[in-house]
Amino acid sequence: MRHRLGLAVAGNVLLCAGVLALAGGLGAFGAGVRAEPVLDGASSRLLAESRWLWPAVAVLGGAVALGGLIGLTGQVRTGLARHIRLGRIAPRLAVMVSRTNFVEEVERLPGVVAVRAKLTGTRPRPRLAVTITCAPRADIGLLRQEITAGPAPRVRVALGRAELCTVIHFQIAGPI
Amino acid sequence: MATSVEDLLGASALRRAARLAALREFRPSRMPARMAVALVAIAIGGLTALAVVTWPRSFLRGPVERADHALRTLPPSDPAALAVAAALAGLGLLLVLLALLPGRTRMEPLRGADPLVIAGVDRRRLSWALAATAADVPGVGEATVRLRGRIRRRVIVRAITAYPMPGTLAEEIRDAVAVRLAEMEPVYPRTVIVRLTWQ
Repeated sequence: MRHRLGLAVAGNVLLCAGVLALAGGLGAFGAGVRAEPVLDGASSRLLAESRWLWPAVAVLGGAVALGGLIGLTGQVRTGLARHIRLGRIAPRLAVMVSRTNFVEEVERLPGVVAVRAKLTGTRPRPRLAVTITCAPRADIGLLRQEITAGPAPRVRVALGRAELCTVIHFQIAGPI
Repeated sequence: MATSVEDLLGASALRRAARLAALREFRPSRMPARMAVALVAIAIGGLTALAVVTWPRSFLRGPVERADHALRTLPPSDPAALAVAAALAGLGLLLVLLALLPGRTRMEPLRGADPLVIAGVDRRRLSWALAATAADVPGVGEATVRLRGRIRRRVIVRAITAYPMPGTLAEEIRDAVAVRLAEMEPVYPRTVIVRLTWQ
């Protein structure tokens, strides 16, 4: 839910502003509010004379822009980390050998047609993204159990990264 | 060796963590909407700060004065003001719904016993595999499967049989599809509904 917090906050702000303006326009706050312009003489004076209002508006605007920038950077970083191959997290030969061993081990499991594996993620949170194409009648539950019991822990040990997460996308070979 | 309570609790905690990890991994990220909101926040926040700091020589002086004039002359009951308010409320509602509703994923998350091994199966391919299972039941000529529902999750099997009196064929199809689905261990349980037609 955390990554959707920005959407929820922005949505609530817009919804509240829109509903309040609609309610004012439809007469929920009285006929005076409905017929008078939003800014009258008193509010104009307040805007002109207030010494703290405009600096506060500038700070608020800057904070909103900074929040948006932080959110955007996080999204781009997460999106790229899921797809782009991770750089050095272990000796290059160890990465190559352990990935090849993983692919060969999984290919030998019953019902597996093809396997692709790629090391992605970030240095603190590496991921082994695996796509397994299996036969239409392959037992996917059993395959997952076999991978959980053998090849996945072995890659973690070989790379010396206990936190390595293996993400498996099962595809079923077929006419689609 | 006897299984201790700790063993059982440990395994169930791991299963729960694995389930949450699978749900988190395959939940739609709402990337386009989140990017749009972030870009709009950068634009509006940045321009507001810039306009205040550079006032009165701001390049935004024209638009700001037009907005100021509109706020001083238009009452909230003006149709243009009402339309803007309705558009804001509609957009806000849309964003809130996008944040709250789980959304449809391309992958069906699978249960597991290890939170460091997350698995999912492609939904379209899963439908096709379940249809193949239904078509394997003797007496079924053709079968199609659709995965439906985000709250009441169902597998709807439409099968065609040549038997005018199929007897328990619908139950057999339902059992075969349910067993196949249970083998895959999806995170969300689904009810299998069979619609059998005679041709």
